[in-house]
Amino acid sequence: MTGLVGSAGPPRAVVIRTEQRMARMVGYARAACASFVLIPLFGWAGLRHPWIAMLVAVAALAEAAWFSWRAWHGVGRLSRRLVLADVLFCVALMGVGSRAAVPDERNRIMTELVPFSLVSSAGVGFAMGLGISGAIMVVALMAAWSLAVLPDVTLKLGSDLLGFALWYVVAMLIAGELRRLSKATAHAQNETEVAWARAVEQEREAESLRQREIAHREIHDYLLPVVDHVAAGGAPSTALVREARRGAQRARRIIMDPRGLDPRFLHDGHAQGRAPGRADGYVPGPGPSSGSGSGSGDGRRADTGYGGSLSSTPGSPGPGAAATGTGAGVPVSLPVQVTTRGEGDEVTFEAMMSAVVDTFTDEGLALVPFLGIEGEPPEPVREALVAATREALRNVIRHAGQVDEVSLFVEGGADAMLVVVRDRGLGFDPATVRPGGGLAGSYRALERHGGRVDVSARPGLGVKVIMCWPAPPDGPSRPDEPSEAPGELA
Amino acid sequence: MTLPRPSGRGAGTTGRPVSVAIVEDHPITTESLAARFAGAGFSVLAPAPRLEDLDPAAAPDVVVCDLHLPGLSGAAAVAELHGRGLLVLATSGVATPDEVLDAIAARAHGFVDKAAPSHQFVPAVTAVAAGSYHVSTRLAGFLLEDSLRRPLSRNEIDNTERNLLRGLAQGDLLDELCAERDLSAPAAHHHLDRIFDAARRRRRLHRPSPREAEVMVLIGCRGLTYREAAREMNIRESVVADYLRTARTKYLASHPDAAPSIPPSTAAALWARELGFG
Repeated sequence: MTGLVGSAGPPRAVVIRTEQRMARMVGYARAACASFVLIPLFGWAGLRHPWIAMLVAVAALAEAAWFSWRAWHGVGRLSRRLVLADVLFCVALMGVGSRAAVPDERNRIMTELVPFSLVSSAGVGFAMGLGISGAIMVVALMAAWSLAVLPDVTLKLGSDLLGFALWYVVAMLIAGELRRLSKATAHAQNETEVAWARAVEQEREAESLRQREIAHREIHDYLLPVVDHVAAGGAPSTALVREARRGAQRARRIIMDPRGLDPRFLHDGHAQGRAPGRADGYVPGPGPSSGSGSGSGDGRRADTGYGGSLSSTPGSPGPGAAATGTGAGVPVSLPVQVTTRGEGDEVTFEAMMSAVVDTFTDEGLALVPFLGIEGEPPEPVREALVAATREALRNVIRHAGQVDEVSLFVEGGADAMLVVVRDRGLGFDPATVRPGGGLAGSYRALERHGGRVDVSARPGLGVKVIMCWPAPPDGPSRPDEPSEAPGELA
Repeated sequence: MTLPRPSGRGAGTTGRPVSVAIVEDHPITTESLAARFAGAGFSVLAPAPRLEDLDPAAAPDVVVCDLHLPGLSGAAAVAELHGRGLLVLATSGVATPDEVLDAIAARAHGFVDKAAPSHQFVPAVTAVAAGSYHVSTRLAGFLLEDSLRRPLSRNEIDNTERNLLRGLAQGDLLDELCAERDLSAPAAHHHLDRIFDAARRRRRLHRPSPREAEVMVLIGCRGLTYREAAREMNIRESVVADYLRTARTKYLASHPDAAPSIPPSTAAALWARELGFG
């Protein structure tokens, strides 16, 4: 299309010839219109700078000759560069030529210069066709004419109109930028939401897997052995009953039965006497509660009744249940041992400690108990020891953090008793933690009954609470400070 | 808890890693244990869900053996492993004191509660691999209670050993007790050796002899009369009664929860079933 004859075949030749003719037409027009620039010279006297008009006329004639010659000899379509040069020349021609006249009469000289410049537009039309560069050239010609004739008005108009155009363009750019930004943000948000949803999903899957594993493990480790044992015809024993009870508790926790989540329910619902066991005093009072107190022995180790009464109704009155358990209802006479109780309806120390073990085991504490109890210390001492033990274990739950194992060691008889509670949890620094603070009340109560409590702790290495009764003669006992917190002793 | 013994199997002395086999039918426990052992630098054999799955040719330094397995299980499994010349560390989440003590009698070198965190297994395996013993808090309680309840007439553990068990049952570690009581590692090992030996003899003393077991099965499980049992065993009826009485005495000694008035045939039935004779 650039006008190389040799490269075109016969049908292309027609096109090229037509282009050449159009180019020559512009050339004719340029040559013909050149004569107009001579006209201002005839009003030589009325011009402000006649020599400028002279110069313009000469330049215009020369340019027209050059242009026409190029248009005539050009091959194919009118050259864009030629047209551009022509436009630039015309702009200069109008700008310079208008200076020849006095400011108020510029229109006169421009009337003659316009025909010459109009040809330039025609050249743009032929060479450029429809397009931005063509439009810019035409606008440049128009602006040049306007500037030449009315410079003040044009400047004012131009700057204002340019303002409109600029605002339009700038707004368009800003809007485009903001839209791109919002799009990117929305995309990023979307991505984040998808990733988050995926993470939540993965988390849920992991949690569900974990729960399944826990359930699997609980069933495998705690329920199945009990069921297997019974299925194999194993002898029901107090240990089996205890394991079965804990298994049921664990199963309830797995299926989220609220009864499995509240340890108290187990005691209340299974053996009526457990409820008093949670109070620190642990003394079954006279009357009905005394009956339930001994009934609580049913579920406990080394106590009467439950050894043989797998089928006995839970919650039946204590002594009665013990009687039926030993006497009737079981095909073979199962191992049932009636241990000696304290005086009358008193609860044995071993039963009290077993209840403590059960309570805390059911609460999820990994308790490793050793109960070697040969006799019964006096009742107030038993109560004080049990309360202090509860407090020590409660402190483990509250303060030790995640503990692997807590050992509860109880050994002794009627005239001496040793209780050691040992955990390997967080521990504390004895230098910074003040004993007491409302918690050491039951420790002091034991001291009042002639016992002694030693708490040794090191940060990070757990706590060891040694409770002994009576207080050993050697070694300094804790300084008695009854005046410091008399309220706690009550 | 490591007690290197001069005559140990040498896992610690030759410098090669301790090799451990895990016989356990619960994959979750196996996996977490194996990971912990591998993290401690042990070489862990392929897990065996049953004793029968353990490669008979394998010779790990220590076998961690669950006491409730499908197939051969409990003390019998421990005895089988000991018969192969392997050191056994027993573990269980639910074993009764009797089951644990039976495992010790079958020459397990220690017991760790399965509920114990897996990092407790590492020192236990290390101790057993070195030919020594691992006494967890719970095992110490079982051994102490056993020794208090069923004293031996001779070669009973002395007060030092009993106090050692007390300390362990109170949650102290052997290292701590050794430091506290100025006990050297070989001395501690000697005490543990005596404790385990006493536990084994104590247990054997309260096990039915083969003849007693036979009587228990015939009368307790198959429901024969004394006369029929006597004919079956080619002995006199009164001897059958003697065997059964002895069995009952042993049963009562090893089952403190049992009623002292239990008839001999009932005791025989319960015990035979418990021991898996029937």
